[in-house]
Amino acid sequence: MFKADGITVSYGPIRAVRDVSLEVAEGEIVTLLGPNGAGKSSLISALIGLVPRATGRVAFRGEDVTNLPTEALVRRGMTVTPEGRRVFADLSVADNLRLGAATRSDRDGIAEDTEKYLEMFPILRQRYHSAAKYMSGGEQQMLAISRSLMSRPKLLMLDEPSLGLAPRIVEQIFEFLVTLRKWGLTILVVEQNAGDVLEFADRAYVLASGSMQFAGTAAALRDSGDVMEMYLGLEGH
Amino acid sequence: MTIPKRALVGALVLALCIVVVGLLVATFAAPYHQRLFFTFLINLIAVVGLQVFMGNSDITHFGHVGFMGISAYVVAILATPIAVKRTALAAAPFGLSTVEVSPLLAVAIAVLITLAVAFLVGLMMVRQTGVPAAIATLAFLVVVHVVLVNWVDLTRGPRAFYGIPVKATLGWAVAAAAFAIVLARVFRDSKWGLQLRASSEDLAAASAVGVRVRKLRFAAWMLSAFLMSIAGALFALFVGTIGPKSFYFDLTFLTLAMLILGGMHSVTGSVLGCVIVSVGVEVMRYLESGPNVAGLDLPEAFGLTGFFLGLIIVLSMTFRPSGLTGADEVDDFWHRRRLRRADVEVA
Amino acid sequence: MNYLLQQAINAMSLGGEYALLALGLAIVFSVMGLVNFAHGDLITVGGYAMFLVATWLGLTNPALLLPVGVFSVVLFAMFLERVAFKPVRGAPPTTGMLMAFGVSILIQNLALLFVGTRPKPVPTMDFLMTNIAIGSVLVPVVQILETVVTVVAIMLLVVFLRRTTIGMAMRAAARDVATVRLMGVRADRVVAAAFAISGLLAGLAAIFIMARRGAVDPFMGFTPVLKAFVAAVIGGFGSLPGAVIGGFALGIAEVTLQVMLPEYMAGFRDAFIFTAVGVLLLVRPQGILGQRPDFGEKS
Repeated sequence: MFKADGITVSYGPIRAVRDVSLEVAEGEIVTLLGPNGAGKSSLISALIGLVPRATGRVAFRGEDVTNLPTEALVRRGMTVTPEGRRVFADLSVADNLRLGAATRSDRDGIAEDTEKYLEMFPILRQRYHSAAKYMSGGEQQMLAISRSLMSRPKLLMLDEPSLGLAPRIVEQIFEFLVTLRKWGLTILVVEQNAGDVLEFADRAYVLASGSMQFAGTAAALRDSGDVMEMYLGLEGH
Repeated sequence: MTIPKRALVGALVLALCIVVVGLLVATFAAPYHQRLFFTFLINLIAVVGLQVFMGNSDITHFGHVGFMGISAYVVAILATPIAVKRTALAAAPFGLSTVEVSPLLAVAIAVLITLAVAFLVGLMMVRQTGVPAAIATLAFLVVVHVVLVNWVDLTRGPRAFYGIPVKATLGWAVAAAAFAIVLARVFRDSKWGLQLRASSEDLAAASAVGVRVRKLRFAAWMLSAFLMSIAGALFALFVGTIGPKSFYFDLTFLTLAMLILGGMHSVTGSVLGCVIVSVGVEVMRYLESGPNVAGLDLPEAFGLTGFFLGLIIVLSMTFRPSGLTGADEVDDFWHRRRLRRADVEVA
Repeated sequence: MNYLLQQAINAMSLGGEYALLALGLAIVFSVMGLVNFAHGDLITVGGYAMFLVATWLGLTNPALLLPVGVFSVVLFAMFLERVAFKPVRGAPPTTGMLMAFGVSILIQNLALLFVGTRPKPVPTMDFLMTNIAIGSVLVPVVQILETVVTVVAIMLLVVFLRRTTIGMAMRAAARDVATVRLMGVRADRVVAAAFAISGLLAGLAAIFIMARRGAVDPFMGFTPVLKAFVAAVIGGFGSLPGAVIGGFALGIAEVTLQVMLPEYMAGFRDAFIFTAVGVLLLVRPQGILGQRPDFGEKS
């Protein structure tokens, strides 16, 4: 469904991402792992067009979308839940969700989806009219993901959803991702928290110092001791 | 204050150019052109004065011309003969209509008073950067103007203040311009100037290194005001008649355009910008009057000069916000050329 | 008592005008981080549009002329954004500010070049300048209308910002444009909308200014934009409620100073105001309600 080839991202003289390729098939959960500063966020920003790509092509559902701007990509069904959540702080939960559905015009569908996520995350219903800045990190993450889902995307990319959150909340969120896969959504999740993600992901990539170090099934990564040690500081199973 | 030898050489070369041109103008040029050159020199000092603050602290300075105005009026009030003041400034406070001092003394007092005002304003000004500081300088310009226009007893209000002794010679102006250039360069390339420029680019990093940014900014502010006061004094003693309008937005646009075009981070840029824009403005003024060019009778086009200045600012901001020289001084260009030639030789 | 009432009404209508102007500035600043020095010239453009339509098309019916004035300002504001400000969209705030400064000079001199220095008459509804009696005070209709229009405009703006998607997008973009784009909302549209609203507000202000002056000249936008700046800064540059509060505060301050200052100091009124603004900027740049002392160093 999604294929990126030979992506390079440069900030002036610094190359944050060097000739990286990855793909995500429909209905999969693919995880992109790697240590801090590996270039994972730069890659995601570049894939969605927020940061320019020096080289590389991107294809989505059979269409070459390399030269499309962010807004067009989102309209085609790609979306990103950004690192640090980036909820609209001064806007209410309701307004955040409404903006998430900005590309849609079907009033009933939007209302239905809103209800679905309020059911899923009751805290959002509780805080429906209060500004997002008053919510805790975990609550904001639930809002951010729901907001991303409001556009009914085909591909959801999440950038470090577990960052700074308590383990219990992280578990909740990861469970939600598994549910989403059951609902037919394709997911690419960037994480530093390798251990937990590899439990439910289908395939995995490992990025370090801007280059791809591993590409294969999550199971294979779990079992290969040295890749893990070198780049993630974990013991293999 | 020590600066790299290269920088000093660059400064002296620029200054020398001015002196040489000055000598040529003084010897060969007609009085009309000598007057044009004089105006150019005053503008040059003003632009360099602007550069000292704007170029080193990265804060847009809309109020520099206000200091020029203060200085010019002090000179005017003190140096104008009593005979003139008795009618023109009859109701002057502090008995100023009975006071007359030599031009030199008037200039000295003007500089001191301007510096005093700069000191008071500067204490507050250095607390902010970016847009708030810029708008604050704009407020300063307006306040100076309002005071000049309304303190009628002291300044004759909106009416022209005439009768100032025309004592400034081309020699003074050339010397002052050369002095301004060297002073600006010395500040820019001294330890102080370097620290200020570095910290303007990255406030967080600079304060981490312990640079006393505010003190440095204050120094730049005061130095700028000093140069502006000299420009103002020269203006008064050259033109002989001044008014509040001479020190308001028209001169502000002009000097800003000159600095922006030339490159606000270098003194060379100020000089270059001043030269180009001065020439451009003269051409525009000529065209504005609807001259006969090559047999064609051109229509009057009042507003062409302003249009030209606005265009310069807009085009510079769109295509080259750092100006023609970027952040380079004359000696930077030579140095790079020397390096490149060395590369070629090695290859 | 009458005198006080008169002055109170003066303060309100003046404050309303300043509020409209300041709001226009604040909207553009809050969405784009641009300090639009050319805002005052939008008023000039509106005046010239009305003059040209009246002269060339012979359309002197003020009822038709007013919408023309407002509409032309909206279009011009959007045109200005596309042509002059889009190229410097990502640049540091001072670049944008200087660009706007340059644009302002360009507009003024273009008007000078093509129309001339002499003020051109703009026909206005005569009844606007008539007085009606409120209690025992005579008030020009234009002042009442000004206050009413300002209040209505502000209310409509609030509804727009709170209830429409693009309005919400504008509020969100004030802090985080990138994420707004992630919602599929085109950044261009949000910016264009901000300028359109800014133009609309300037256009409304232009109507009242024209009504009072009866004529347009190239440099008439200069004083309004300065006053708008003062008002916006007082309330907190970039804050929309702040702009409104600042506008009315400035109106009240001006009228109060006018009343209180002894005759010989009356001219210094603006000096006091601008000194106060300067100090405010340096001591508390975020004004009363603003939140960003960094003034536009956007993410």
